[in-house]
Amino acid sequence: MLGIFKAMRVTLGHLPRRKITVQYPEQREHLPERSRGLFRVVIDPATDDPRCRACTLCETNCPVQVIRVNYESRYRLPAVNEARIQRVRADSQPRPDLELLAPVIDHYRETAPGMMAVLRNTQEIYGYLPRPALQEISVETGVSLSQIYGVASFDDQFRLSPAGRFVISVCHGTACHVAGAPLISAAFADELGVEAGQTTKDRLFTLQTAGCLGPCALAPVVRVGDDETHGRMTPDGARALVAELRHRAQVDR
Amino acid sequence: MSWDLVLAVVRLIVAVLIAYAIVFVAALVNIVFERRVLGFLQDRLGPNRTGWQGILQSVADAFKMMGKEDFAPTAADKTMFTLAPIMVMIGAVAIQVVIPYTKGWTDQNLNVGLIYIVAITSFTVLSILLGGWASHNKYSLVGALRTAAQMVSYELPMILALLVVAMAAGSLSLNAVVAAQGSYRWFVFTMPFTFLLFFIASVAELNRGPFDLPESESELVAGYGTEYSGMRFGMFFLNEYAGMTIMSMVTVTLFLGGWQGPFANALVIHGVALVPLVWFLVKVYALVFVLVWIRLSVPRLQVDQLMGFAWKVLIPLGLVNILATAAVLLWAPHWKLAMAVYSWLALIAFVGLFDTLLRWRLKRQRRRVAVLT
Repeated sequence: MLGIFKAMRVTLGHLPRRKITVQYPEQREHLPERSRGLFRVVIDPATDDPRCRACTLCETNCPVQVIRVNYESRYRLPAVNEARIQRVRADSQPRPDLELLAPVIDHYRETAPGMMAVLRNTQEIYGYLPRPALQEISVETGVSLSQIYGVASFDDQFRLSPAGRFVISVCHGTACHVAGAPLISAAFADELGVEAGQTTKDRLFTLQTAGCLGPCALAPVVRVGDDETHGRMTPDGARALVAELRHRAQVDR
Repeated sequence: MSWDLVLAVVRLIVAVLIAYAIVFVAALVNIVFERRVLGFLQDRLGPNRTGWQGILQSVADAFKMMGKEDFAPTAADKTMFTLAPIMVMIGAVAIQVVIPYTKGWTDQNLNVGLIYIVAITSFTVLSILLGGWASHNKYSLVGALRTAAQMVSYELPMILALLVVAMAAGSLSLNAVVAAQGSYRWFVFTMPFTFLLFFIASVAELNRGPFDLPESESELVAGYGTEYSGMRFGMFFLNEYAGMTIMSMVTVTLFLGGWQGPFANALVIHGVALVPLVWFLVKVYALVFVLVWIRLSVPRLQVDQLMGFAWKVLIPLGLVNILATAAVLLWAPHWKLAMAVYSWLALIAFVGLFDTLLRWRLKRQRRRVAVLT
């Protein structure tokens, strides 16, 4: 009961106090010098053009992400942007036949293997992991595309771009490294004009380095494709091997 | 047919119209009044845009409400559902028949005025129950039953306090009660303890302040009014706010000397004194302010505390108070003085001991150990 009176005394004490309400349109708070409360596009009085160049820096830097820059370019410049690059890249890849993916998805539905197995099966079909196939897997399995991409890019055995006809794997295991594998890799890179992990422009060769391939007695070892192994390789032998493979490709054609 | 009958009918209609007008105006004024006062007590300004200092705010609200769809649930009992918000006004309107607004202005000087007030206020409970029942919604029904339980429980201490007033005034007529408080011997001074009991009970009757469980805005959906919207809801709402003024009128009449005050005979037109009307309104709105003030300051009770407070505290105290007052009236030589002394002592004891006893009781309650069976 006395507590109630105390509470009532406190509330009554607030009656004569100054009110904190600001009657906005009539009264205005005095804002600090550097306040940027209201964003406006400043119009240049000389040209009647906006001073904004639509650089979208404000949009990307806004800490609370309230800025949206809607603009239309007056100059039809070939805009170099991420979306365009990605589109070109996607167009350059052969469009994969997603029908082929059906058994992989069925396998996933029946036995629920890990993402690794799904991706391995996919790569078996296409030879690499095409982006549309990954999107399809994401839709079908419910795993987000970024997680799939994380798995695919982490593991060396997965390729995100089409491989060449001949995949040359240079063994960099301990024995092969001691026996001169770096020299072999350098010779291949010099002959093919690509670095390890890349594919030549004519889609004929893919050069890659491998962990230990196993036959250490034959070091240094180079493997072409899945079932052709060349032991005791030398830099000259590497150049000869490339020439031979080129010749084989010509004969096939 | 005599002219007297026609005059009586016309008088009746005019009286009812005035009563309704007072109820509506009081409700609209109270809504603005409460919002502004709450605002000021919370360091805000409150609504001050519609009209001068916001006085038209509730008029705008009322028009908004009337513009809303007149909606009733499919399962609801349409007749009862419509009847309840109409009936809820009866209490507030009909009480005004016996209230002496000022010297020479009482609609009917009933010699059973106090009993009439008790009888009429029960109508509110009835219509709230009706509304909850007709909604055909279990939440509305449960809410209505809670409200009914609360209002019935707190009616008892109110009646017990009224009995003390009747004993002291020696009459059940409200004019006699006002006359008994002449020359500033207001009952709030001579029996403050009874006033406190009555005031607490009347706050609970109004479903306000710390006792606003029936439709505690921050907790429930809306209690009995769950299915009500638009002007039907508005009627319940208006009744609640009009109830503040009406209940304050009753309290002022019974305890604060009614219309009495200085310069009572300064301005008299056709036997109706105007200055006392001002005193009456000032006292009423002082009480309305206290109601708003309490609502802001005191947190809400739990439902078990609510019922326990009525049945375990207020009703026993009311009974004891009646017995003590009766004893004083019967045996004390200067009974007015004796009653004032007794009542002030009781008030001081009640207010002073309340916290200590409550704390002691809570401590004992916590010490109780659950018995496993």
